[in-house]
Amino acid sequence: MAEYNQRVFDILVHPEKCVGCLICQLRCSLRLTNSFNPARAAILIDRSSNELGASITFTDACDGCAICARNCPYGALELKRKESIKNDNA
Amino acid sequence: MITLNQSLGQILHVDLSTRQIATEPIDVDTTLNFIGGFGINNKLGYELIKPGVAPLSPENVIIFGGSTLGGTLAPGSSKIMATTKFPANGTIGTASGGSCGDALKLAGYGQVVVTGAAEKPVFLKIFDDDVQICDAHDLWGKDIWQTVDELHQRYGTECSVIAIGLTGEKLSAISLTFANKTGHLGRGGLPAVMGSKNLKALLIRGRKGVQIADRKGFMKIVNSMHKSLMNLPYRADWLGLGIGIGFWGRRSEWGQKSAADVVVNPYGSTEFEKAWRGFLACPTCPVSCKSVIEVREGKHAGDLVSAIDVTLPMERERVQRIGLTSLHQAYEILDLCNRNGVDVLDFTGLVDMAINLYEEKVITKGDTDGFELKRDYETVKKLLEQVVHREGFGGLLADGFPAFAKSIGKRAQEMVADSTVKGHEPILDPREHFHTWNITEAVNPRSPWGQPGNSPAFQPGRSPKVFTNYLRRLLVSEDAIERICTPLGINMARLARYAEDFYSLCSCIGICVRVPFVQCYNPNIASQLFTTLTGLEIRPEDFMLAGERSWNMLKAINVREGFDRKDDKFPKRFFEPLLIKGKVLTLKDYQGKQLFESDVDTLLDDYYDERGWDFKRGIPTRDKLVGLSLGSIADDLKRLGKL
Repeated sequence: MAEYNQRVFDILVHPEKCVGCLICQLRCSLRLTNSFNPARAAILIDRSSNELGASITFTDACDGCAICARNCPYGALELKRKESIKNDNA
Repeated sequence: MITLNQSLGQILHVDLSTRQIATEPIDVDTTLNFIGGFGINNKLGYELIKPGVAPLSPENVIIFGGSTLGGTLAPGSSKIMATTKFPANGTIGTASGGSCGDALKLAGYGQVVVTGAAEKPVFLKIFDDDVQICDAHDLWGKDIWQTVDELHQRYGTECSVIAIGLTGEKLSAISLTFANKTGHLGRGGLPAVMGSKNLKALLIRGRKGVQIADRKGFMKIVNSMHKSLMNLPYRADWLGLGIGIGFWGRRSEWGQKSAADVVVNPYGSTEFEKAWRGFLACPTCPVSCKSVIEVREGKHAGDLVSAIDVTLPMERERVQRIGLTSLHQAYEILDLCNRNGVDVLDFTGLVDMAINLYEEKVITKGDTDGFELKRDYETVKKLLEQVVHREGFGGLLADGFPAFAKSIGKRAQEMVADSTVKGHEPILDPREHFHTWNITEAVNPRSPWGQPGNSPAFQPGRSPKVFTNYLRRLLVSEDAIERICTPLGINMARLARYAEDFYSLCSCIGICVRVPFVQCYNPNIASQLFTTLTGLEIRPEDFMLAGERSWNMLKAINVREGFDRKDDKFPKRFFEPLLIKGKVLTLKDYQGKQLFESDVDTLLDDYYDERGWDFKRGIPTRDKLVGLSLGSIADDLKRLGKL
């Protein structure tokens, strides 16, 4: 997949699809801190086991790199081309 | 340059009697010999669990082992393993489940060793370096779900929790618990050991993080594995049906048409679809194997339950055997078992046995306070309530098979002798399909638990080439492959040894042993991940050797407790015909040849021989232990007269 460009893409969040694998948080923390530390990720998953979906939030440290969306296995985070760009291209 | 503490964590020692808390670094030799997780647990178990200790005494020890690869992005790497002496049968073994092993690593610990007993109920709070023994009087009496929810409310859902329910508090031998309401820690009664120590829960929050020696190298492997898992041809079915998909391969044998048919029959797919709500995954897992199911009847209607159990055909047969006729009844009972911490495998087997005894008039209404034991929902629910509160006739079931049989008398003891191994029923019946799992259930040092015996033989009719490829992937010698893949067929007993060693290795590095992970990990990949994480070089063949060493260590601890070949067996009932789905099934080998008791004895000889053990006693030889650099263990067993 091409490098994410926040001028072109939005990250769509589907919290009901989150199953709590935390892959997004781990990916994000590795990029930001050069170590695995979900607590220091810019995306936070708040999920109690045995419940469906999760609360997904982004901290101020998020620079929109979208490494989370590019690696979500369950479709809870999705890259979508911005409507305005679509219109421009049209 | 990073330290082992940064990549693998330290050992945390907590004495609940003295309230002393200390840490100990893990040294390089121990790491290279036992890797971590299951391996280091077994090493510490041998050193710290004194021979002959009473399981529910303060002198028993619980070693919680995190995942060696935990806290990283290595797929399926969140397993937690708890090693202790079990009250159900007196063996020393490891209960393991997905989730929590990652949190422990992120908090900076490879292992947590709990000794002694608290005077009053406590929970152990592990927030990185902030480790505290906290008052839990207001949590005592709550079920597992309530305890987890309460601790999440107080400290946030970022925390991982291992809590015990009422059965643990009441010291039941058939108690079970969960890692984060997700992964089961069952079989043997770990929660009862926690209960005997007044330890209501472990609460873990890891914010130290995991440092990595070679980020690029590590992530190159992880990315490749992630891609493979996402592209698994059966991923879509797996997500919906979990490990039930494993039975899909047997559809031709059972005359079924699809995975869904196999898994949701005989209750009917419509009922299953109505109850199914979504997936549940352990951390780092892109191939969730658990479904979230809504309980639709009873007091807890509307509850969501993690339902790996009832979605399995084998579990389905278990709950049917005790008279649950609808999916909703089954889920309600499963939910109650989960909440209160009852091991559903042991419970269903014990209920079945109690009803059989009642039907034979060995047990009468006089024994049950006037309650009639029938194969129906009311009986199951009543007995479950009595197990949970440890009262009335059902309270006898809470002590597990051997103790229950002893309290009833000779006929019950005959039944237990004919149907159990080391005090538990085997999970799978080899008359339906004979494979490595069944061998492992007979010889597993802790109790019948077949997962270490997972191999391609789980599905019938595999070609010799499949087995040859599998064994070469595990770096098994060509000589051994010749012994296993013979012109007469595949020798399941010899094959089981290598399946167990690989399981042991997976448990040492702390990864899930479900099919997708066993297929995408191998000793080569595992050793590369370990080296890029820690900076310690290790050859893949030495990694497999560490798996074998750790399995031998588990065996050695139990040899020290007095277990040997007399305890390894196929229950007698497996040699009788089984009537199922209108068919009469008898015990046959993988190739379809009839097996008699003498044949199974020969297979056990083969298993011990392949392990390099004394096949008469079914225990490791001195030469084998010395060859695995366990000479001091051999000396100790010799000193105790066990070798």
